[in-house]
Amino acid sequence: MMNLIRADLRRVLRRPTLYIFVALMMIFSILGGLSLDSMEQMNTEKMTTAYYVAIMASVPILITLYGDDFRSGSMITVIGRGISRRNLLISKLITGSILLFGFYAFAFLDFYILHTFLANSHYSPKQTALTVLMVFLGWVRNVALFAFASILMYAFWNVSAGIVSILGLIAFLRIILNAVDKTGNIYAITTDGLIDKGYAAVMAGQFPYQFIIVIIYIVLFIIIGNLFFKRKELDL
Amino acid sequence: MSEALIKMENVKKTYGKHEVLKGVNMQVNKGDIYGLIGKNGAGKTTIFKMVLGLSTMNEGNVSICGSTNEKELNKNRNKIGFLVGQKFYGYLNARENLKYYAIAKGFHGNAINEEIDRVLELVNLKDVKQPFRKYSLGMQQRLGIANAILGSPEILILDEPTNGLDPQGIADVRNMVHRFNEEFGMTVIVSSHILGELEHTAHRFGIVNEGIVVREITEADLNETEPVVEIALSDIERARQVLADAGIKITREIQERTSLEDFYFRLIGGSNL
Repeated sequence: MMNLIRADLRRVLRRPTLYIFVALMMIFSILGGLSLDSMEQMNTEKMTTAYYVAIMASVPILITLYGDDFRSGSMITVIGRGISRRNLLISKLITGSILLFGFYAFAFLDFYILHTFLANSHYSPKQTALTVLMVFLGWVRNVALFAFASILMYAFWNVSAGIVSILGLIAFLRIILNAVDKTGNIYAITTDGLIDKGYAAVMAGQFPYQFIIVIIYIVLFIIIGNLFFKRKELDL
Repeated sequence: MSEALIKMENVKKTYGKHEVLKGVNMQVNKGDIYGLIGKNGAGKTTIFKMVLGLSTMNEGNVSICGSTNEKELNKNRNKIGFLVGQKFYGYLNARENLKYYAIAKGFHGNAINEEIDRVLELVNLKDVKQPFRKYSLGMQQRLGIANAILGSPEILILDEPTNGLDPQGIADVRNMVHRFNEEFGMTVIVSSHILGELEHTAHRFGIVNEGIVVREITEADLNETEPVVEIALSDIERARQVLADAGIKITREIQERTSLEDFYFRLIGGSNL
């Protein structure tokens, strides 16, 4: 599994697609950051940042990590050489998570440096710690989205299914749930809802047990994805 | 007794209502160059998919190097190299594509480049720099073979390796197969519907028709000679008698070796693969 992760990381990092999206993310960040003039605005931007990083990171990673493999059929070679489908699924998810982590770390540094030096804002140690936590939770949320998307990608053997599901969940999940569930009970049990509650628990000095549920969700998505993948007939 | 590296027993596979494999039994022994023959749709590729774990069987057993349980099968699949279509990244060149598979296979450090140099040299692609998407079919097949022999696998599976190749390309593949078998001791399974070509490549043959291996034969079966009188009669004894009765003297009988193609069509019937 480790060998496949090494091979995938090396291959994906040679694709210009990733760097184009990193550059785009930086441009958006500079354009947004320069217009900031208050701490309040900056906090609002933190939320927006989490969403746009999710989009800007997910699309190129899915295209390069999964899309190229579906197109070239390289997964078939890897399976034929004795790597089990479960291990393949998990190693792709780990590789995706490492790449996502890179994107989120870059987004944080970009955001932090930009606001400190360009917008001349000042972060207290507590604010810095909370921003780090927020970025970290954004990453966890994105890993959960990848795990969910992999169910559809392996079921349909197509990267578009994954991209559409992730974009749909990022853009519309909350809007749809707000429309159909005024109580917010359904949102509370979604990954997003649990992460929000977990964050609130940390702020209140309580144990964020919600994060454990998120990890259980990720494991469940992997198990379901593997069930689909195991049944998939692979064509030569 | 020969050691069976790949053995299939009563393997059945159904897609919906269509029964693709109807109980395949075949055995590939250590050191074989085993030719799998059959027309398109006979089930050759499905047999390979079963061996490689790309498709699940409905019934039967596949054993690789003596193992039949899934965990050990996966472990033993690491001993198989295969060429099944061209599974490469279009934007990477030959070396970079092989690097991906070499690292995934567990090569580290200098061994990666050493192994890639070795296999690219064997298929004569060492100096090719352009990305895979610009390769001719012949180059694609050669890179596929280079990938298949990466790490010197014990078993080599080549699915239609001469498809779309010119005569020189076909001869090159044949020579490579013999070299891998004789010099590197690889057991090779090669499928083709070009019977004349396969006859010059393999030592043993499995004839697949409508989802079953109808017969496994060896070169010796092909070497059995039979008298041929070039006359439009099928019964030779009767032909001799008739000719003798008519006072016609037979001056020469030509003993011809049965070609694989003849053998195949006699067994299966028809003439169009």
